[in-house]
Amino acid sequence: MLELKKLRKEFDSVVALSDANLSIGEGEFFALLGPSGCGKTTLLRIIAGFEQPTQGELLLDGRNLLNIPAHERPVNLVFQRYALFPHLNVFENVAFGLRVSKVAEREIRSRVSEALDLVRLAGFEARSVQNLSGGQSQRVALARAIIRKPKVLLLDEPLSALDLKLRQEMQVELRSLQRKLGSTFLLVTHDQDEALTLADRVAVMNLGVIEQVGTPKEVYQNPATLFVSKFIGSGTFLPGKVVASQLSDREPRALSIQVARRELNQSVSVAVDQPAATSDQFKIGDKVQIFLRPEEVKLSVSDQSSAGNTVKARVFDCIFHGSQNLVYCDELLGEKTRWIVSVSTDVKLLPGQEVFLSWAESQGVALGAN
Amino acid sequence: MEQISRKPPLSTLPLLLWLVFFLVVPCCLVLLLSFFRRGVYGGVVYDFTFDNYLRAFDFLYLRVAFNSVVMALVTAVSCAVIGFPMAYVMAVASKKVRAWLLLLVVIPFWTNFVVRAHAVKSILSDSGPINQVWEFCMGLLGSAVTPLYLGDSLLSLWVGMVSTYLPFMVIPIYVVLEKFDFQLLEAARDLGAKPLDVLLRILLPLGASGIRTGFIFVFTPALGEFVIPDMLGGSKILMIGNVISDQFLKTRDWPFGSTIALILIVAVLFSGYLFRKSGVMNATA
Repeated sequence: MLELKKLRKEFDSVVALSDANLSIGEGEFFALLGPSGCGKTTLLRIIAGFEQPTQGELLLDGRNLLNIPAHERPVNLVFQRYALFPHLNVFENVAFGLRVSKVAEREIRSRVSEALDLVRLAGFEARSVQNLSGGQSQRVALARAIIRKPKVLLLDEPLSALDLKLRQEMQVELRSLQRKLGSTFLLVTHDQDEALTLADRVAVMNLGVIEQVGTPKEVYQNPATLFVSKFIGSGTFLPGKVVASQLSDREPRALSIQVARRELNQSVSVAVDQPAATSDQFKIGDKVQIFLRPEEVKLSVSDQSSAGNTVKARVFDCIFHGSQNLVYCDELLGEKTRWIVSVSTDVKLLPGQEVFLSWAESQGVALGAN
Repeated sequence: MEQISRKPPLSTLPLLLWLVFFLVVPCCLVLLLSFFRRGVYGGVVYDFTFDNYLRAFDFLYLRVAFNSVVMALVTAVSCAVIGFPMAYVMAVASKKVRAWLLLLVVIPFWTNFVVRAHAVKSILSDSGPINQVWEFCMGLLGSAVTPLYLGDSLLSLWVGMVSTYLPFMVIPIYVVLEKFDFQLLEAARDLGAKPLDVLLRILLPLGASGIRTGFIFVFTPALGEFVIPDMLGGSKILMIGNVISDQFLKTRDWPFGSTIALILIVAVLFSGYLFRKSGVMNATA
C-alpha cells in the first residue's frame, strides 16, 4: 500500500537516508526503530511532505505521492511535541483539519466528538490546550490527526515525552485505536520496547540505512546485522572464525557453520537460518560473531559438555530483573568474554561461583564481524 | 496575590520622580494653559476661558485632525503589511543572518531622522536618482523627458512616514515570532491547510500581539508627527502636529496649542482604550 523505492535524502552531501526500500501493508502497524540521527524522522517527514527526497519513489496505493503538496496528502502526522495550536481550544484543535476543508458545521460537530470519544477525551471540548497534562495533550494530538481519516497515520516518537507508566498505558491505547480504525500506522521511535510491543513489523535503521525488516520476533531472535543485535535487547557476542560450512539440501535451507574460537582451541556449531543466508555469506576463514540471547543459554553448576556447545565461566554478578535474574559471568579461559544469561529467580548464585554455560546448535545467530 | 508585592520597593522612587516631573507636571501645565488666553504679543493672559475648546472644534481643525488620523492609520497599516514579512524572515533566518538583519533594522536609529527625511526627499526629488534612471530610460526609448513628480506629494509623505516608523513595527512582531513554534505551521499544513489558511488561521492570530504592540508604537507618534509632513508633504497637507507646533513656535498662542495637544492626548488614550476593548485583534491576548 505504502511503497518506498530507493528513497534517498542528502543534506549538503550528508546522506540522511540511503536508498530505502520498504513496503507497508494496508492496516499494518509498522515501526521505524533506530537511534537518534539514523534517518527515521527524515523518512517520516518525506512521507508527510515536509521534505523532498533527493531521489527515489514514494507510492501510496500505486499513486506517486512526491508531487502532491503536504496539505493534500492523505496522511497525517502526530508530532513529537504535539504542536497543538495554543490559541485554539481542544474542540477547535481537533476540528482544524475539517474546518480548512470547509466541512459543514454539523458534520464537524459529530466527527470531533467521535474522535474525542475514541481517545477518551469526551467533555474536554472547551478546555484550553495550554492547561492539559502530557497524556491529555497526546490524546488531543491523536484525535486531531485521525479526524481526516488518513490512509496512513504517522507518529513521530509520540510517547517519548510521557513518563513510563503513562507511556505503557498509551501503548495499549494506541494499539486498540489502530485496531478500531483499521488504518495503517507508521511509528517512529528510538525505544525498542515501544517498537516491539506495538508494531506488527519493524524496520531497524542505522546511519540512514534500513538494516532489517521483520516482525518483532524475527528481529529479536534473528538479528540480521551486528547493529540490530546490539541495538535490540542484550546478549553475548562470541568472536571466531568460520572453519566449516554446509548448506542443507532440505527446506528450510539452513546453513550450518562451525566456528573456531582461536584462543580456546574450541569449535562451536551454529545453524544459520536467516532466510538470506547462503554459503558464500560465511566463507571458510571469515571472521564472525556468534550472538546469543540471554535466554538461549543454559546455566548449570555441573559439567554438561555432552549438551553441545559448552564453556566454563565464573559468576560476576546476579541481578534481579523481575520475572528473571540476569547473570553476568566471565569465561575462565581466553579473552574472558562477558556473558549475559537469564535464569529463574529461584536459582541462587554467588559472585565467584564457577558455572557451565551451554547452548544448542540451533540457537544463536552468526553475524558478519565487520 | 501576596501582600508584599503590592508595595513598590524604594528603588522605584527615581522612576516615580522622573514620571512626576517630566510627565505628570507637564501634562498638568498643558491642562492649565488650555484654559487661559494668548496675550496680544504672545505670552499668556491668566483669565479663565473655554474659548480655546470652542475654537478647537471648528470644522477646519476637525478636518486637520481627520487627515492626521487617516495618515497615521495608513502608516500603521502599511508598516504592518511590510513589517510582518520582514519580521518573519528575521525570525526564521539562521542566528548569524538574523543578527545582521536586526542590525539593518536598527541602523536607521543611529541617524538623525531629519537627515533621513532629507535623504528621502532628495531620492524622490525631480533631479534625484529615481528620476535620473527614469530620464535615462526614457532617453533610450527616445521619448520626451518629463520627470516623475515624486517629491512633495502624498507618495513622498508615505515613504517618509513608513520608512521612519517601520522599525517600531518590525521589532515587536519579531519579538513575538522569535518565540513562535514554527512546527505549528507544519502541523497546519499536515492537516490540510493551504498556505493562505496557514497564514490566516495560525501565523496571524499567533503573531497578533506583536502586530498590536507595533500598531500602537507606530500609530501614536505618527498621529502627532509634524516634521515629516512639513519636509516631505510639500505645503499640501496640514497635520494636527503641524498645527500644534505652529501655535507654539510661530503664532505664539501657547494656550490654544495646549488645548489641541490635550485633545490629541485624550483622543490617543481613548482610541488606545477602544483598541484594547475591541475584540478585533484579541485572539491570543
